[in-house]
Amino acid sequence: MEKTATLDKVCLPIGKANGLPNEHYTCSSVFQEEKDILLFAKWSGLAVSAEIPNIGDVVPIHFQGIPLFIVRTKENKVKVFQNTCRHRGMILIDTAKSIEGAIRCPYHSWCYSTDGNLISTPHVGGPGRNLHEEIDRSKLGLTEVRSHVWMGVIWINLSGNAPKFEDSMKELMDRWADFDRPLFHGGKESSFTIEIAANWKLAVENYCESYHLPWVHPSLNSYSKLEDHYHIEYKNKFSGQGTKVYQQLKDKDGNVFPDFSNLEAKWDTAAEYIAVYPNVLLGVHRDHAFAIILIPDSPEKTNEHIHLFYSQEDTPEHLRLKNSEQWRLVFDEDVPVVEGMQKGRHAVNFDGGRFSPVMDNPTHCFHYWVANEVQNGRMRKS
Amino acid sequence: MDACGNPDEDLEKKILVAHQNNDGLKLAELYAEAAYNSPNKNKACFFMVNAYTLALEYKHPKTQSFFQFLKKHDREN
Ligand code: FES
Ligand SMILES: [Fe+2]
Repeated sequence: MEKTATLDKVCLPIGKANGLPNEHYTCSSVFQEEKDILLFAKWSGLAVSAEIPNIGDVVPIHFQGIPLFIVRTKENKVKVFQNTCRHRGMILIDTAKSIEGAIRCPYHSWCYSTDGNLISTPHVGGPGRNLHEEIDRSKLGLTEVRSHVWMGVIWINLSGNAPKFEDSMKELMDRWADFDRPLFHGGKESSFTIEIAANWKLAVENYCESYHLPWVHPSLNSYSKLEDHYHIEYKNKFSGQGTKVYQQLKDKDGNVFPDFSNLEAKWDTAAEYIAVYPNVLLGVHRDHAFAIILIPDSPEKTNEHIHLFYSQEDTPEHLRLKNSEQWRLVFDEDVPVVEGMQKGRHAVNFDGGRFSPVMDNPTHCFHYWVANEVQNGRMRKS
Repeated sequence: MDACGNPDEDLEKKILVAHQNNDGLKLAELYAEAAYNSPNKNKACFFMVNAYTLALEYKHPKTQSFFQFLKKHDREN
C-alpha cells in the first residue's frame, strides 16, 4: 500500500479542518481498511426485518463480499448467519424462500435448523449411517453473526466485539424513544434502490447537512427552509439535521397518514434526519419514518436501499405511493451532487476541501469520526 | 424388492420422477417405502436416511418415526 496521508488535519476544529483525503474515496486498499475499521467493527445496517415477514423466511445477502443470510426462526426471531455449510463450504441459500422444516445443504444434504443448529448429517459415517464419532454436531452449527433489530433495520456486528447494540446506540435510542415501537413497512412500492457511482461516505456526508437544500432541493425548500433547520451532532456516533416545519403529505381531499400515537408535542411540526455511523440514514416524522441502508460495493459504487415505514399496517395506498414518489424525487436530486463529489476527488492534490464553520458541522462530525477511527485502527495495527 | 434389497423397478422409477419434479414430500415417502420393503438392514437404513433427510427439510408428519427407525439401528441419535 502506498503511504497513506495523515488525518490530523481532518480532526482540527471545523474552521481549520480539511476533509478526508482523496484516497478515502478512490483507493481500494483504503476501502478495505475502512471496511474492517468502520463497517465490520461497528453495528452496520444490513437489511430490513420486513424482508422476512414470516416464520421460515430466508433471504441470502452479500455484505462486503461475505455471503450471509437473514432468517426468521421458528421462535419468530430474526437471525443472521454466514451462508456457508460447515461441511465443504457450499452456499446454503441461493435464493429468497420460505423454509418449512430444515435448511438442507444442496451438496451432501447436511441439515440445519432455522436457528443454525446442525441437526442431521446424512451418510456421514458411511451409507445409511448419520453418525460418526469425529463429527460432533453440537460444534458444527452455522456461524451466527451478531444482530439486532431496531427502527425496522437489521444491524450486524461482524467482528463480534462491538459493545452491545443498546450501549452503542444508547444516545440515539434515548433521543428517539418515541419511535421505538412497531414500524409498519409500506410494502413493495415503499422500498426502492438507488445505485450511485460514489463512495458510500459521500452519501452519508450529503445526508447530514441541510446546506444544500436551497440549491439541490428547491421544491423541498419551499416548505423546508434553511433557517428552520438545526444541526444534530453526537460525537463519534451520529449526526444529521432536524426541521421545525414538517408538513404532512395530503391528498386532494385533505387525507393524511395516521400519526404514531403518543408522540411528544414537538413532533407535531418537527422531523429529524440522522446518519447513524457507519451506514444507516434514518428519518422520522409524526406519521412515517424511513431507513436508507448504504451497501458499499466498491470504492466508487454504492447501493442505497430505501424503505418507508408507517404507524399502522393499513394506510391508504395512494398516499403511500405519493410519499414514495416524493422521497424518490428528493433522493434522486441528491445523486448528481454525490456523484459529482466523487468525480471531484480524482483531482490530484485536492486537499479534502474545507467546511463552513456554521453550516457543515454534522458533516465534519462524520469526517472526524472516520479520521479518528481510521487513525486508531492504524495505530493498533502498527 | 430384489434379492439384494434394492427397490423394484416400479418404485425406482417413481423415485426418479419425484426427484425430477422436486417433490420432496413424495420422495421422502417413496424412500421410506423402499426402506420398509428392504430385507437388508444396511440398504434399508440407506433409504431411510434419505427419507429422514427430506422429511426434515419438508417437515413431513412422519419425520419422527423415520428418525426412530434410524435410531433403533444406531444410525441417528
Ligand atoms: S457441503 Fe454442505 S453438505 Fe457437503
Ligand atoms: Fe439532499
